[in-house]
Amino acid sequence: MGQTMRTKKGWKEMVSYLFLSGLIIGAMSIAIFPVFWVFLSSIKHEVDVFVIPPRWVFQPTLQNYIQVIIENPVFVRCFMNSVIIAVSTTVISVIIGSLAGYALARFRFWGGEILPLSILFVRMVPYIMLMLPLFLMMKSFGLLDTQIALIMVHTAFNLPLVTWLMRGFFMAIPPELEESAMIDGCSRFGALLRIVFPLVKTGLVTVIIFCMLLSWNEFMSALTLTSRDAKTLPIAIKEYIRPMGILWTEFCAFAILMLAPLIISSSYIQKYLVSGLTEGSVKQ
Amino acid sequence: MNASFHSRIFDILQKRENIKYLFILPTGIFLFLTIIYPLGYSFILSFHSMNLAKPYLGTHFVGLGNYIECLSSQRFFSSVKATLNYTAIVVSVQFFLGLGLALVLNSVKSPKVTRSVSTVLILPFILTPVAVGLIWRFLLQYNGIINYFLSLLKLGPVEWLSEPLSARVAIITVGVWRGTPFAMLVLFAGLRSLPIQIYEAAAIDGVSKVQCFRYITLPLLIPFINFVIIMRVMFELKIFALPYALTGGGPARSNEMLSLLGYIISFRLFDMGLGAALSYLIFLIILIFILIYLKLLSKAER
Repeated sequence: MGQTMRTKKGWKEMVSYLFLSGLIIGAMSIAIFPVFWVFLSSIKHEVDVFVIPPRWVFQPTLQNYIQVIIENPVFVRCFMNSVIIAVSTTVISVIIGSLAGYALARFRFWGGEILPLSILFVRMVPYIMLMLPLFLMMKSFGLLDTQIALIMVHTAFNLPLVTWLMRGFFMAIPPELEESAMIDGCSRFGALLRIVFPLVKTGLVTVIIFCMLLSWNEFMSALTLTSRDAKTLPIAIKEYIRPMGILWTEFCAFAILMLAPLIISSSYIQKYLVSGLTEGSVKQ
Repeated sequence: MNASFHSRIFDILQKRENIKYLFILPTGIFLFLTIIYPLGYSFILSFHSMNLAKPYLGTHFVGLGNYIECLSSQRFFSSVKATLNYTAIVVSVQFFLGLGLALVLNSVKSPKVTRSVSTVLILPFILTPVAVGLIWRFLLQYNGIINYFLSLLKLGPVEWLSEPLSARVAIITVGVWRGTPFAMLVLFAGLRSLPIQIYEAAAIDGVSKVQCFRYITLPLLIPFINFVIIMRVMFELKIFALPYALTGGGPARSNEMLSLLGYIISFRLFDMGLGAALSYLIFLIILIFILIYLKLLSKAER
């Protein structure tokens, strides 16, 4: 009698185990399939791409990658632009955003909660609202199609989030630590640097990841403010849509090259992104 | 003279309260120059007529002319409908799918497995949106891979991006594909943060699993649920790169989301005054929705 009970329970558990694993594997396949198929297409000859039924076994070729990197100078230049803009934006946003977040976490400002909330409020603004005046402003300063313009705009987009998140991270650290350091003769800034800074390392990594991600993927401001010199990868890839027809295999190679840094760092990103977001935002 | 001047400045800076202004100054100046000032400029511009494509017309004050033109425009209202329809469907599906997946993932004990699964599942969320749009455009071609799978299931090939209805379905599907990982991971983090003791106490009291979920899990998850919904709604209402890449607003403007319309007015037609008015209307719509949601929230809490 006892034995029959055990096997029954074993069956039920196994079925639900299989079912849940199936769901997870299904979800993972759906998530990764588009990237996988694009990768596969990127190493195919043009001829193999649109055959029905699709070819799973074919003669691979690196021709598309060669075309993208070597024959077409656009890719390298746009890659450099994207990197320079993303890194500069991140450095500036993180430094001044963290300072502001620290100030908002430790001090009271007139208006009390209004200042931090208005930071959140700024995030509600649809970017298209800013693009118009920013375009006119950049035009009058002669900054159209420059890296500086994009760095400034991306920093502006990043700052509210950085400030908000860093404020959350700083608030989680008891102020007594800095106060005891200051009693020992440290300046406020020195205390910030030596005591608090090491404690918010995970918060900083989270914020850095956010800034790099936002800047690398940013489309609207790059679209409106650049044309040739400061073109970033997202703009370069959209230019594959030509009225004469799209070179799909070359596009696939371009896409894989552009997305490769993101794919490679996805486990790193995953680690910090959600935990940082929820810790910094949900609990505030 | 110099030394005492410098030490006086230093004293003022060292004084507890004053350094806070120094810390917040760079951010404040930056945000003022790049956000507050442009917002004000845009506001004033919305009451003027300025068309960069027709500079001979000059810039003159038109009062509420631009706003009236927007509000009486069929194109504007189709765009509002399309955007609201898209956002409502996409966020709902993202939430429910995300919740389901989070619950499934939560039943996995091994942290190694959840980490690898999360790493794969986060991909749709972090990949460049315009690239994602173009990739799906590639996949959804008439003789593309998606239609091949559908034909295997006898659901036939579909002319995805050339018909308004199927294009809408396609855009919604891509939107869901893109945003569900975010919902799932946030809700999963929420589930993992729930204290086990409550469930143990409930098990002792003989509470059923369904009741556990309804009366313990859901209420405790509310801050995470709010976070997911507000974040997704704010994001999807402003969506730009995805519809731009997938269909460019087509076919026949059936999927012209609000931000895309704003872009077309401002940067293809170069009607700056109209574009400014339109963007303020878009902002108003977003604001209204957030306020409605918060109102519903505070009501539900009672």
